[in-house]
This record gives sequence, structure tokens and C-alpha cells, in this order.
Amino acid sequence: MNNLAEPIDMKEVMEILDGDKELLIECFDELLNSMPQTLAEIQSAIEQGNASSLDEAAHKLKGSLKYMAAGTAADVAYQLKTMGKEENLSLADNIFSTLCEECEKVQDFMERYKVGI
Amino acid sequence: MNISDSNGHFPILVAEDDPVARKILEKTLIKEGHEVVSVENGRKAFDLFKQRFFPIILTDWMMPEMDGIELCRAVRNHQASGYVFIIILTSKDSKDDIVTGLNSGADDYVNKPFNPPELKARIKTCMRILELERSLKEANENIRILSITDPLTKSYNRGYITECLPKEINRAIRYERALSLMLCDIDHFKKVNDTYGHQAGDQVLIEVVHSIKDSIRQDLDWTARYGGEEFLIVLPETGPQGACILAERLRNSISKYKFIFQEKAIHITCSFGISGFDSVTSDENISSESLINTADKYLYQCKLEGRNRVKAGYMDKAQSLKFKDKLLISNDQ
Repeated sequence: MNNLAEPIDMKEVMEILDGDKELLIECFDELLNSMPQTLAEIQSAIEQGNASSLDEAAHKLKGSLKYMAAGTAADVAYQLKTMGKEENLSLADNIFSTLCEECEKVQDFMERYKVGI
Repeated sequence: MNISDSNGHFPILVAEDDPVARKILEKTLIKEGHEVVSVENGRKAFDLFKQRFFPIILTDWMMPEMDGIELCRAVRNHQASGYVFIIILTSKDSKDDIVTGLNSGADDYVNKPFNPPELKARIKTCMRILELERSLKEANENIRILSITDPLTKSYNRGYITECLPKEINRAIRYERALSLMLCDIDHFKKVNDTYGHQAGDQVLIEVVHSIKDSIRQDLDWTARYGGEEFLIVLPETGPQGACILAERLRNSISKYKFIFQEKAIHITCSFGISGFDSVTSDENISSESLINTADKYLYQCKLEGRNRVKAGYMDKAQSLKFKDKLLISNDQ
């Protein structure tokens, strides 16, 4: 599962967690639990045109994804965060769709990893 | 105050809105033996900090409600009981951002995503600094105690009288409470030194202080070495009548006590001059000086009249607009 094409770079995440596999599973569980809620917050912020809420929610998700070395998904979350910060939500819908796709890949990867251990 | 546990670990307050980062922080720090309390924003962290002191705060920079920079400033502006070492976690790593973080009161910063070994090392640095602060405080406290303690008898010294007696008097006047002072002087102390030697004299001084300390209320009354063989005893919430009872009890027990030095029994007596008041309102005549002078005057009379006795005066307004002392008791042995 160290393939760089995977949504999570396992080598990088194990470096971040200092090789603690137990902590990795706990973090996967945490992200699996919190991700739907955070995505809902992002969606709601976009629908309401609330730039600061978008900034905050996307920032939080980007942080979690970075810790889990989910680089692509983190980059997309960062794009949304920047839109929120710059109060320019014109392309937010499209980016949010991409974020959902990337997060689904991350979610799927984490679930597969947990089954595989 | 020692806030670290027996292994030198300090409680850590974590403020982080990202649940994954919070989990990693908690787990990493708990594994190191720290007590960790984590919250999801700066506001909650500061509310908690106001209720409980945390010597280490690890805070994210960007958080809802109150961010890490605001938290740093709030903690620095808060009167805490000790130094708080603040580490800010940030994905911002430009020099300007780092300067902003440090200027807001953070002591150190760690870039996100942090690496656990690096975080542990930073926490160890912070523990060294907090331990240094603790040992400095302890040394200062020891110096403070030494500065107010008579080295021979371990009672308080003149410095303590100068510092604390005016406060006792002010408090008694402000709340219209009683206060008494006793000057206790060992009779013919020079003879003890001349007959048995200075070591014996020192031993007598030490044991007289023990007798005084055993007779007064702990945590309320206090005694200080006023001169060579003269001790001041301060009795808050005690009027001159009460002070006389205590002085008489002390006088009696000391006069019957055998001080043993190198198998020789030494008998001594003490004289007691007392001053005080039951309840007064503010007046310029009530001062440390006036109370001590009055006690000293009655002590001098004891000496003139043969020693081993108690004489007391009390501060009374009577006909005059100014307070004057009046003889309350004179027990002749």
C-alpha cells in the first residue's frame, strides 16, 4: 500500500506518526467519523455563500488530510479554503465536487486498509 | 507550588480544531507520560485556563472563535500563578508569520504536520525551562525565608517585624479587631552566658522560643526575636486581657522549667511587657512604634520591680482625643 498513486501516501503517514500503527488506525477512525460532518459544513457554507465558514471548515479538513498524507485531497481542500479566505466562491461548487471525489477515495482507502490489517 | 508530577511531567492544554491533529497530539503526549486536556478552539482553551493553571499550552494557529494568536495574547495578559510555555502549531512558516506568533507571546512554534519525535523534543526543552523556573522560585522562597528568620532560634527576625507588624495593626484597625503585643525578655540572661557559657545561652534561647511557639496559636500568632534575649509575640484577635493570661501561663511554665545543658540544670525566668487594644478605629497614635514602646515600658517596669512578672497596658481613648496606654494588670511575684 505504499504506492504513490494511492490517495494516502503510507510511507509519509507512517513517518508523520513515527511508525505508530495503532495511532494510524485511531486517526483513520477519527477521519472517517469527522469527514462527512466537515464535508457537510463545507457544502452548507458554499450554499449559503458564507466565505468565512468555508475558510474554517476547509482549513480543518485540509489539516486532517495533510496529517494523513492524503496530498491530493488536501490540495483540493486548500483550494476551497483559499476561496473562502479570498471571499471568492464562484468556482466553489465545482471544486467541492472534486473534493468529494477525492475524499471518497481517501475514505475507501482507509476502510480497505483497516480490513486488510 | 510544584505543578509537575513525580516524574517531572507537566499538564498540557491542547487547543486544536482538527480532530486528527488533536488525536495525534493527545496520543503522542500521553505516551510520554503527560496529562493532556484538549479542546477544539482558543476560546474553550482560555476559559479552561482561567479555571485551572496549565504550565504548557500547545495551540493551533487557525481556529474558530479564538485563534492561537489571540489565545497567546489572552494568556499573557492573564495573571497566572506561574510561567506558561506556549508552543504554537502552524502550517504558516514564513518569517513574518513566525515573528507574529512569537510577538503575540508564543515561546516556540512547530510546523504542521508535526513529527512526533520533534514535538517530544520541543516539549522536553519546555520542561527544562519550566523546571528551571521552578527551581528559581524555590531558591527565591528559601532566600525569602532566610531573610525573615533568626538563624539561631528559627523564630522570625526584626525584618519580619518591620514588614508584618504594620500589616497586622492595619488589619486590626480596619476590621475593628483586637490585637496584642508581648515583649518577653529573659531575666539575667548575661548570667546564663557567664556561668554556663554561650552555647548554654544559645540553647536557652532556642528552648524559650520552643516554649513560646508551643503556647501560641499556629498560623495566627507569631513570634520574632526582637533583640538578644528579647522576643516579640504578636497576638491578632487577642485583647490585652487574653494576652495577660497567655503571658502568665508562659511565665509560670518557664520559671518551673529546667533547661538541661551538659547535664547541668539551668533555671531561668522571664519578664513580660504587654500592650494592645480590644477594638479601635483608625488613629495616628496606634502604630508599631507606639505599641512596642508601650510593651517595652511595662517590660522595663517588670525589671525595676524585680523581674519574673507580667505587666500590661492597653490603648484607650478615654477623655483624651488621642489614644493613651493605661495600666491593665500588674502581677507581682
